[in-house]
Amino acid sequence: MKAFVRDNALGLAFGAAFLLTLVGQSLAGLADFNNQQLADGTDPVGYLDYVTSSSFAVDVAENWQSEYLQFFLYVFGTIWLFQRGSPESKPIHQLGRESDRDQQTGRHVTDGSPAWAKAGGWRTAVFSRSLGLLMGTIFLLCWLAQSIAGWAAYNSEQLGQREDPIDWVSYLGSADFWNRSLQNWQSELLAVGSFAVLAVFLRQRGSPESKPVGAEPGATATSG
Amino acid sequence: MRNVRAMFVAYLVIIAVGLGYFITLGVLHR
Repeated sequence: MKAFVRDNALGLAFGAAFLLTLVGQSLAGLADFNNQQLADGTDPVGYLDYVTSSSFAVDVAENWQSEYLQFFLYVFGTIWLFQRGSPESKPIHQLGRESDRDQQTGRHVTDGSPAWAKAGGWRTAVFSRSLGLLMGTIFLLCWLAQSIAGWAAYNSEQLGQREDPIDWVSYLGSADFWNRSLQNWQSELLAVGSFAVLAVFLRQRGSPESKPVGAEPGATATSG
Repeated sequence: MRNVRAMFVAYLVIIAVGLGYFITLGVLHR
């Protein structure tokens, strides 16, 4: 148990904080939802009704999709795009997918390399892209979930206002769907872009996300 | 590494359960 906590402190801390904030969101979301219900002259709902509502689902899913889009773009973008001086960027001569020697593939695998890195062929091709592929797949599935839950929540509001519900394809072209998507994307892209650039000149001692405190501003791809 | 594999699986399960839950809610309420 002690070894498990030591080996997974980062994953456990963020996992626990995720669960706590999700519960917090559900409580604040319920209060907000019920304020709107009262303003509309309808009955407030209970906690269980709220956390099983499409309104709660779309609010969570829209944030999930944007986070995974951010990581998907960052994983792929940093293969090819350079940012001088950033600990998030590779040195300019290593841009691209790199050699087998750099990536410990082909005849450069070691005894400890993962089985699919040693296998060659399609398995190594898939494994070589597995992180980005999973992030991209989770993003697409979360965006799909957002679209379905958002569509249901939108139609529920439409019916409440005695207006006609719309079909899913029409919802994909709606202002509600794109407002929810873009408002999350813009903040993620700003945070990631600014982090890559701010870390050129600013430091956080001891963090692998930062360059060493004494590193030169022009030093790229160093972490401390 | 067995400890870390358990954590890896736990995160995949959280994501899969969340995704399944949101899609199910959307479909049920459509």
